[in-house]
Amino acid sequence: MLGRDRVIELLRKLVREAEESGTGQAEALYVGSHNSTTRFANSVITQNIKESNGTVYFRVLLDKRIGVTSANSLHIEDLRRCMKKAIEIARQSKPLKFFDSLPKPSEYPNIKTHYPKTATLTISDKVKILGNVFKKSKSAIQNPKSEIRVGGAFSTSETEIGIANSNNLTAYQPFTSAHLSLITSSPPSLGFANQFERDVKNIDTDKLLSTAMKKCIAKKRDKLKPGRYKVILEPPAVNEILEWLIYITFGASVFIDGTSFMTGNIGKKIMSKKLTIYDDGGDTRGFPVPFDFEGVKKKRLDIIKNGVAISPAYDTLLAKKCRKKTTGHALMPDDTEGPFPTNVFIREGDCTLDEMISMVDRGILVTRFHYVNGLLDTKTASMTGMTRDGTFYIEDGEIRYPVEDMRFTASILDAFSKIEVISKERQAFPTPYSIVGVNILPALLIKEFSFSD
Amino acid sequence: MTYTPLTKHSFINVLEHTITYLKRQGVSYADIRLEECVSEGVMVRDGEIDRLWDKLDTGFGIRVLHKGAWGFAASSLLTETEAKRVADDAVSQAKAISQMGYGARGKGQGAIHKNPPVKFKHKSPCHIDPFIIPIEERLYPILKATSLHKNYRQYKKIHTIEGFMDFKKTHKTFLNTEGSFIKQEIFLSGAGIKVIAIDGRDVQVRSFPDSHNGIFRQGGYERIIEMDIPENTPRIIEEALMLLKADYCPSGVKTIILGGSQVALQIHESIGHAVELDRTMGMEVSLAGGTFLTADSIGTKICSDVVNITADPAIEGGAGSYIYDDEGTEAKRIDIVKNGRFVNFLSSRETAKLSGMESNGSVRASGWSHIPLIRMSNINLESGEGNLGDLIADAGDGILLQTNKSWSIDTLRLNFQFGVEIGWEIKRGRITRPLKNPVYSGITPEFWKSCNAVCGREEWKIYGLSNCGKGDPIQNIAVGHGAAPARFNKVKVGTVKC
Ligand SMILES: [Zn+2]
Repeated sequence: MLGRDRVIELLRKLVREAEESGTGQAEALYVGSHNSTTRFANSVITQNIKESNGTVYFRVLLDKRIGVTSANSLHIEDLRRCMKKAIEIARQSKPLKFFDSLPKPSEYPNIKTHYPKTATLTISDKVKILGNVFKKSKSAIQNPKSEIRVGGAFSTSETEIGIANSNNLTAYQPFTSAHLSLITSSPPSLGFANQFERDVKNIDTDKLLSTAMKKCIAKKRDKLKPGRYKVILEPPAVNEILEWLIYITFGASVFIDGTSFMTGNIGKKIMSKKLTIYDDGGDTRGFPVPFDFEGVKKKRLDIIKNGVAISPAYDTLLAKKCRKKTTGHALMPDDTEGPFPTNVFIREGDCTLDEMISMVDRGILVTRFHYVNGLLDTKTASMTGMTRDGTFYIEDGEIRYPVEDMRFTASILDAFSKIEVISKERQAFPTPYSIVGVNILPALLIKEFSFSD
Repeated sequence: MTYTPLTKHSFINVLEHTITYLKRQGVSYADIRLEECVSEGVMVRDGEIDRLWDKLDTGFGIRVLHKGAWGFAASSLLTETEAKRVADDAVSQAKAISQMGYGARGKGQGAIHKNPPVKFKHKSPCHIDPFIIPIEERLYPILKATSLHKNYRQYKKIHTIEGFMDFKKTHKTFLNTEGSFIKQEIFLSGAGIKVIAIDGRDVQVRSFPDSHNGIFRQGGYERIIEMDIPENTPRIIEEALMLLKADYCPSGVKTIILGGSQVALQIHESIGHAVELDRTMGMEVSLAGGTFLTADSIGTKICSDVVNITADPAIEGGAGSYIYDDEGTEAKRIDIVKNGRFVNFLSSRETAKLSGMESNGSVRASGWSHIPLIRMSNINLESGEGNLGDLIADAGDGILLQTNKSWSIDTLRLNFQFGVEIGWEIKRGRITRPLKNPVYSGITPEFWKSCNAVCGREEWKIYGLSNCGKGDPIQNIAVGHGAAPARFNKVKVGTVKC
């Protein structure tokens, strides 16, 4: 970690140099990180990696022409070459008539996102924690024949993000994160649990292990007939679907392309009125992030409010193109598909998961999905995927038995119009669209969901 | 704040010293990869540049095997002090894991077979260096193709045409404690366009030369020229408009012919990933999952007699080609499926040792910061006989399915569903009309056992994707597939209604 002063000093110097070389406006972004991941399978540590990286991204504006470059080097010569390249690209690009300025400075809230003990967690610390998990998974089982094996990943990271631009905008924030996921296996059953935290000490390994183990104790799985079932999607399953929903629908790029089901439907009720999906980088009930990757302050964006489509996420560039204001959702400059919301919340309901199960006379509980694909028909958000790591048949308000994994093929627009109950408790999932973004999601009880086979 | 650069040459010297240092630490094995990757890409929309980027990504990774456990550390900082810090870090990881007794010791993991030392230098062919062509000229094919619909009334339902182009040049230097020193330089070039036609709620997409950003192949700008993108775009635009008016693909159990690029993805998902030996051993269970194939599956019939599948890292221009893999094993062509029988897994030095074999050189990392994993190189369906016309003529009634739209498969690589951009109805051996939103599904061995014809050499092409994901943190890597159209019997076909 370089720290605020050194990062901002470097970035300002680079912006100044870019301006002196004849650009109109310039922006420099620094993303530095230390990532460490320990992977395990069959209750044995199989891989461990540690990686340190630091990348400077340049964006220069030259008579409305933009050039973007990056280099993961702190060699001043590399950085100068990279900056020159950005200017050269801008010179050769066509002007974007609508784009006039990089973001202006903002005041950011003071939030704690960095925990030194998480940043300095060593491999020995991790091995100790995992060793306990493996031991407990063994001792919890009386019968040696029904041994439970644990697989998964334990990753921790330390990240710092700094931005400076020609409008005197400067922003800096350090982050830490810890994410533990467990897959318990006792053939033919599997179970899953995960937890994401900024502070590693909040990770409750006992709770995770018992959640995952509860799902994989049965020795037999039944096969259910394909058809439409009432379904409870636990938060990890909701997350798989939401990741695709964000990708095909909630970003300005797909909104402009017209492939998003929000296009042409703003202000219209398209989902259940029980459902509110919003993005809020400032909400401390989630994992706040003060600004986006061009330094625009985070604030709440309603995406779906009581079932009504409100707005996709914009960055400065696409907002200007659509004569809108940025919603503070710029991704890293080398991203090609965003902007996307990266701190998504589904508003919580008022039931516990057990209460939700008790409301189902005949249905299926899904822990998690595998390999969801949302490109079948984006206007109806038709998706397909397989259940994994714990799928159960519910009858008369109780979980009866585990069932074999099944393929769902369903329109999520249709499914999300049939939401009956939303859980009170929500869970955090890091988003694939930002290294510091986290989604906060409940379980959903949906009246009808199609399983093919 | 900034650092004094070491030249690449002097940093390689530092890495050679680091190998000596690691040997002195008593490690059983260590390797170092230094990679420098330069890439330039662009996204265009309707004849205008949307995003253009240029990226330099450099760093080195050190992997050690010590006391039966692995450690890996990597850094982007090319200094002598950092090289030592990273080496120490990798060793201390291995020590910690093995000392605590939760490492791979005792279960056979954490051991590798020996490789002979190799000194080798290789540059993959690149006839026209894309990086020296001025941007305007370089982008001409996709700027032209994506503007062809503008200002034409008959194309008003063409909402957008997107184009994509990306070039990568990677220098890799590999050193290990066995005395190997391998330098490889690889050029990767790719491009494609996507036509989006919209009529009310109906969105239809047609892509060329393939979906999901096009086709990637090793080589230079010549790969883009040979795609003939602007020449093919008018046909693709017409097909997208035809799809808006087309009927839905009828559901039922049917004979299907898959176009070459869809065969490529079918091989990728249902065979390529299934034959990765680390999956068989449960090492990927936390994310990617396992496979239906076990050690006992060798020799069993998983496809029909006409199906021959090879892994060939030596094909010129394959997106996944190399001479030595990322643990210094020489690449070789191997049979994966021979006359329908499964004969070989893709293996690494560790997984091969565990199975009492030698690695077949199938290991790569997607850059300096990642550990090498078992990855497909170029996994090919070997050609059969006849052209696509022959396959259609002999099909009776059926459907020709072209260009992937969606893909999904379970953790064991058995239960799959694919959606494609366009279907063509075949009646009595002739194509009659286009069909929209087709999907087909099946179970891997049943499906491949129903394959009754593969087209000949004249239809065989090399396809390639740039973003096959595996591992945690996820590693995206370029993979090639040689494939030709193929015919399958009794396949479940359906449609997605909008
Ligand atoms: Zn893949």
